[in-house]
Amino acid sequence: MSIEIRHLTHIYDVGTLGETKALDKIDLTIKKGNVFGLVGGIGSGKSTLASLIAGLEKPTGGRITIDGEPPCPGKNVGILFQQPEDFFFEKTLFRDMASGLLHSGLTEDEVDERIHSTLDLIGLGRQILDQSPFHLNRGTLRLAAFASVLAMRPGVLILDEPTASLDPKSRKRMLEVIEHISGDITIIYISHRLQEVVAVSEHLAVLDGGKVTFKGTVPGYLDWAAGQDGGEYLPVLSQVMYRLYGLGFDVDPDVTCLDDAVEQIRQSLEKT
Amino acid sequence: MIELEDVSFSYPAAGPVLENINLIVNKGEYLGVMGDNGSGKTTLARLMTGLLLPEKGTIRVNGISTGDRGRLLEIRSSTGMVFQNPDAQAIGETVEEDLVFGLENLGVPVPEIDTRIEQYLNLMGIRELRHRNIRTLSGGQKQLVNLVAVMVMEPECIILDEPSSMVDAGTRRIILEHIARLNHEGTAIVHITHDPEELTRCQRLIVLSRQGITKQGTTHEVFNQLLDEEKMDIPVSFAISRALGLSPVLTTEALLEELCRLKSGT
Amino acid sequence: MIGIYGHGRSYIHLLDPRTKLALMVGVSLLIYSVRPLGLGVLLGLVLLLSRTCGLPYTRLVQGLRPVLVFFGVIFLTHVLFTPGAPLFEGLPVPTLEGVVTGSVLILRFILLILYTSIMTYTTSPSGLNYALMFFLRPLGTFGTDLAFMTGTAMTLIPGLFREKDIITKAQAARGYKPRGLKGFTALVVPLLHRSFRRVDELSDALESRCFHSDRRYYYYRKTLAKRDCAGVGGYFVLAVVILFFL
Repeated sequence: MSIEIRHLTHIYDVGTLGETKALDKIDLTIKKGNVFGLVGGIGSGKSTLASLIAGLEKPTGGRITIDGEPPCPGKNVGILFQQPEDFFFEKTLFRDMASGLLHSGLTEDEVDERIHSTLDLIGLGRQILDQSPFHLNRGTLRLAAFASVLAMRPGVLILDEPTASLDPKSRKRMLEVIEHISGDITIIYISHRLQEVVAVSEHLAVLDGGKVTFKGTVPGYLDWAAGQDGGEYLPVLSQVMYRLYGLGFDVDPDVTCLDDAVEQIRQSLEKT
Repeated sequence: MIELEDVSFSYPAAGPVLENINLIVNKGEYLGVMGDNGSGKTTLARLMTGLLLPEKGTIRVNGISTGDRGRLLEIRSSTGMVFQNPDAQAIGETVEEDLVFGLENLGVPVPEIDTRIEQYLNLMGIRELRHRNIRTLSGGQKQLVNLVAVMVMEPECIILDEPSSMVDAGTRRIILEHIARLNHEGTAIVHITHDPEELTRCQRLIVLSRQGITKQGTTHEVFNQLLDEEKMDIPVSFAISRALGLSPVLTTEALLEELCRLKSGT
Repeated sequence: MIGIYGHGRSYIHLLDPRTKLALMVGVSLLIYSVRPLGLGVLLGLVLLLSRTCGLPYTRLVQGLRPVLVFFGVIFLTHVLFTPGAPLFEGLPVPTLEGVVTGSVLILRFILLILYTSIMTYTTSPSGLNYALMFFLRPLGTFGTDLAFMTGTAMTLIPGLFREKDIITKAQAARGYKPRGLKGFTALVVPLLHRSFRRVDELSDALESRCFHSDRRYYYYRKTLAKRDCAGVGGYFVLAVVILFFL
């Protein structure tokens, strides 16, 4: 499903002392089956944007449509919040996933089928369903929470910092799962880990102080980020490659994979 | 500075997290701590400042055992701690109040409280935040304030538990620079993180896992070992320089320098 | 709005927090005891104070918003259940007495909130805490600890509301409706889980920054100045005038 965002503005606590403008006239188009990266620090407005696209709050101005329809959580859009492993509360993982689905009106057979097929899709073994969510490790639990949202079969899925505070191993697995399921689902990937965003998404936007400061493709982003002061928006690998390029090395600054980068540097060195 | 001798710890629900840990943090050194989720990194940090007591073994800070409850204040005043979540560490409503809290605990006289607050906020470039309500700050600003709150207390050792895992790239750079500067000026640093890029300024590195400390040595030694085992947690420059068969370097600067030297053929 | 402090250097900002707390108690007593005309004077005064300390009227009035429903209910109860002369012929209620007592009561509540807003706007939470501790001092260290802990615990409350909000949304994204026992458990268990962690984190922060029970609170301690005497004097003049002459 594709998403249209027009002149989106959101203000919290309108008319009180705590009034804060979280988003200021955002325009974005997110194409179907795309992984769309959203970059920005805490307080940049990215979590607010996520919450609005997920239809969990009504914007104070502007509009969002998903294939022409307004976002409706549980129907056309799903969201995986930060630290989602906190949201489990049942005795077993199965009951936790199932009762939400039952609550939303599916029959027991449908629920069974959904849970099993989703676990297969994500690559989690079915044996974890009988375990208590309080005894699983963080990486597995994060994937289970992911499955729990995915089982709602949303057309658009928002992932808010899905790899935060995971170790490299679990992070890698999460990214593989995301690549695996993208294509059927439009994914909005929110993170401040630039290397991951660049590796996993096709298009991306940068939010800062509630405004979009960049939107475009990954190579376009790297170009833009290389021109920013301090180069903070550039993943470390790109920092190296851009500076080499600037120093006259014959390398493509937009490579995002370490092995390719090494190969290019090697060739560039051999040429001289 | 901090000595752990045969330390074990377990949580009732989760079982043992640390077993027979022996570790010394020297005065003025910069020690990096890596490890997977659940490997006990945070527990280790909490043990070091006496927030937790070891089940077995002893931990001494400047020779004082953390079990010596009567002298806990001495331990705490020589070890500061910055936690992961920027939202969960503020005490008080305004930035000034937050900084005053720790200084009052140490009994620092009022004029010195004022000079220290000014000095450290200036140093961090956030002087204009002094009277702001902490709740209205961005996550990055909050974490900078949390760091200042520890810095004003001027501890001998600062323990950082993933201080930059929840902040934006700009704030992260500022935090890392200040940590390096503090260390340069003589403060010992224990820096816990998942991100190898943050550890390029460490002198020494340990890797924790459920079995205990699985690797330790100089930063180069540990990253070399990790690379040999094809673990993915290596700084980019280190991985590139090794893959090219150069002598491994940790920072982008060093890598570029080396490559330029090779290119010009000197 | 109650509970939001704005840094400033106005006369009221500079008053000692203890003076302000004492005056607040004094003014509350006045609010409950004066006749309607006196309430008018107090209303005029609060508007004047708001101007002096730089709190815009719009923001002052916003503090009333959350309690509007409560006021409505009180007003209606009085209008409907106070016996007296009916306003409309043929209907037993509303009565003139009901409208008057209802309005006066609500005006008292409004004034109380407005004055509290002024106090919290001009007094830093630490200052307020210090004042509280000062008055609780007869209770010994227990008093100061109580005041400190109350103050610190208060800072957790906005976070709890935010957490509740996030959890509701997160569970909705997994299909849970905020209804029935299941909906309730789905909210409460994670909320408790996160709250306990918050408290843990806060106590870690307190401890690692050397909190100890015999600490002294001295940075925000001020010596009483002439302006404090003037403030208290002014209060007594006002009290005498509106209690005996209006």
